[in-house]
Amino acid sequence: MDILNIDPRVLAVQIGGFLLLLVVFKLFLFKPIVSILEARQQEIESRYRDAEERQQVAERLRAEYERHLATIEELMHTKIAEAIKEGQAMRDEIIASARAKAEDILARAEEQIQREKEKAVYELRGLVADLTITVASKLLEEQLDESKHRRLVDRFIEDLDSQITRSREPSGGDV
Amino acid sequence: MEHGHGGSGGLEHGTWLHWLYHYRILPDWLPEVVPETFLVVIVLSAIVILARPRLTVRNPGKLQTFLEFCVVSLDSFVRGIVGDEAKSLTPIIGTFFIFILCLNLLGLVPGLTSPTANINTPASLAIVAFCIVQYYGIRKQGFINYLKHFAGEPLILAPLMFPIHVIGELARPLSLTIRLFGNIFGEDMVIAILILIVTSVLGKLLIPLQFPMLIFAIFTSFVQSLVFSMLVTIYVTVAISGHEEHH
Repeated sequence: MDILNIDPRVLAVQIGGFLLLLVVFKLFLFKPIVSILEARQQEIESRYRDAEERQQVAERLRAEYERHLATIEELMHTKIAEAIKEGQAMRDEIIASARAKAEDILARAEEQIQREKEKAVYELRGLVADLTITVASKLLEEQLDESKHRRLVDRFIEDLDSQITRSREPSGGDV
Repeated sequence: MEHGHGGSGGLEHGTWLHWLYHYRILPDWLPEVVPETFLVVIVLSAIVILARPRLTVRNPGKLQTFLEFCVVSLDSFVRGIVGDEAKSLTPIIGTFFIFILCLNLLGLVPGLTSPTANINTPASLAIVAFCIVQYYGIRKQGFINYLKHFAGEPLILAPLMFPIHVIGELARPLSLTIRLFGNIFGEDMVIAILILIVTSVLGKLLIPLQFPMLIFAIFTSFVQSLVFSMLVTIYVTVAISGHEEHH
């Protein structure tokens, strides 16, 4: 012991120093670091699980959205086709209505023209009769009975009309 | 390169901790390696105690990353030798490794010596290691089985084998002590002699001859702490498995 300079008191103190460090290391280094590493590992595992779950949810949602999108597209196509059909029907209806209105307006215009024409003819006839009477009275210098004279002129004009009509019929022309 | 005080025969103090004796804070019989050892214990304890509240699961700092690296490396080192028993053994072996490494490296600090260059320090560590090995062996096998393991086979040779095994068991702490002490003491002596050559022989030519040896000492400090830790781990493995390390 003396040769090697070993002192039991020094040994005891040095052992005490080592054991003290061992306790400190165990309490403040190894235990906390190991628990932190385990906690980190658990966190990583749980995050990985969460990520997987989220990915699955995302996949499911994507499939759902795609299905919805397909349904919406189908619906959209149907609606567009319906709208086109409806539009075409409306267009046809509008055209038909416009055409009917135009025909109606045309018919009415023709009718009015006819009426105006008849009226004009009638007025012309009266004017011609008056002129004829005036001319005839002046020529004959004879005063005829007014009403008698008018009947005579009307008959003459009617005869004239019928003669004109007859004369035009063989040629097939319009009035 | 002074080792010991009082008990070593009144050699002069050569470290920065001499004032502890000068002011009679420490008794004379205590060698200076003891306050040096406790300096290491205090510094290491302070580092881990101060680091403890800052340890976080997320975003570890540089110190925590380094501590995690140390713990994980030591755990894988011990687990590689001893297996599942590593959970309880890693703190012990890890403390051995870090403590011995720091004690060895302390000798490279100017004004301080390696506490492991004093035989009391490796001897105390070897005694602790011996006790740990016996504890693990008895805990794993039971006291009777552990003693039977000393008797060997066949049982008729027990009177011969038992003392041999006991001597073998006692030789382990002795070999641990001498190996660590011899290497570190020798290394410190080489550095001291080289410094002596520089100061006395070369005179005014202050060439740092000891510098390559200082670099090499870092390596040997690491190797010696690793060897000590590894041997203790192997001894524990042998004790808990109940077989001798013939192979």
